[in-house]
Amino acid sequence: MNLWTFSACPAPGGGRPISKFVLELGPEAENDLAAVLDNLRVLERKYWGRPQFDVLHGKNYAGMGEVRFNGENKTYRLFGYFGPKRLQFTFLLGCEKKRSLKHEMDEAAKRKKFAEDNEHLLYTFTFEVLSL
Amino acid sequence: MSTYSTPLRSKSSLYKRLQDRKFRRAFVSSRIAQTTATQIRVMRQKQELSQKDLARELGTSQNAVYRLENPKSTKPNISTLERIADFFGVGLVVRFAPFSEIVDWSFNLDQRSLVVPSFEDDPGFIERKKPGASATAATLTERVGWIGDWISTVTPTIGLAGPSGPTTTVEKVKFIDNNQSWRSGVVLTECIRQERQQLGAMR
Repeated sequence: MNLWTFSACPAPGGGRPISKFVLELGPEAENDLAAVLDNLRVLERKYWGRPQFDVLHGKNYAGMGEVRFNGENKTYRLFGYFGPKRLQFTFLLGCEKKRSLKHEMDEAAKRKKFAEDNEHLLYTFTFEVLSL
Repeated sequence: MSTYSTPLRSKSSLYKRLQDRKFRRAFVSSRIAQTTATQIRVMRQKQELSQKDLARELGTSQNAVYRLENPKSTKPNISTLERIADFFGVGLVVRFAPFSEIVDWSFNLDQRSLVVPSFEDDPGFIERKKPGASATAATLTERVGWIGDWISTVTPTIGLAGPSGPTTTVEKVKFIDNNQSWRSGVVLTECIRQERQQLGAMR
């Protein structure tokens, strides 16, 4: 039984960067992400924790978190935020883990603002979105 | 947008992806790694143990527990998993299975699949109240402000001394809430007595 709904935010200029990011993952990373999300979707918030999930710290990233997964010898991050509704987590930006992710985190924070202002544009996240 | 919970993918599309052997291998590997690591972490958290506490109980190091909870680390061997299962009072299933069974399992996950109830709390072994009792249970839960299916009383009755008045007795109860999670709490003994009287009258 699902407790959580995952949704995704389109880019301000159009397109679905989260779906594109996920569809470009290799089989190991895709399966790892699917396994992480399958577990998170049924767990109460108190059980969302490292190493699969962590909150982002800093006043610019309030309410935001990152889903962590791996595959093909790479480490990935999927940034998102809790909301807009209760028991909903919205993905904002996905990327490969590098030494510093400040730029990506700032971009995700911008998209969060966009998502909050354009709630009607959010769409349900699945691994099956083919129309980008 | 819809707020209904939906699966992350349909069974038919997953079946198509599983035609690829490399994908199948990654599917099994990630399920083992993520599920085992998550189960160990959340069962530890449920018992409010730190990694250090669990390490002490298992006679190992904190770093070893950290690695057990990290899906990127080397997968634990079966005897280690048996020791962990024994500590948490849960069973362990290690066997080969058809892919369809693993897919079904992943589609039917719920919190109890991960925060596995211990032998003492296993709902499969706790006798449910008879169907006739359900109306009474609903009344009781409503009266004490709980929304859920109150199913069994766990004694003994314990006493709570009020600040100035007589001792109020309460009973520990266990029930399954709307998220299908086991919860426990206390109910005034008087409420339970009245409900039992009504239940007796109904019969």
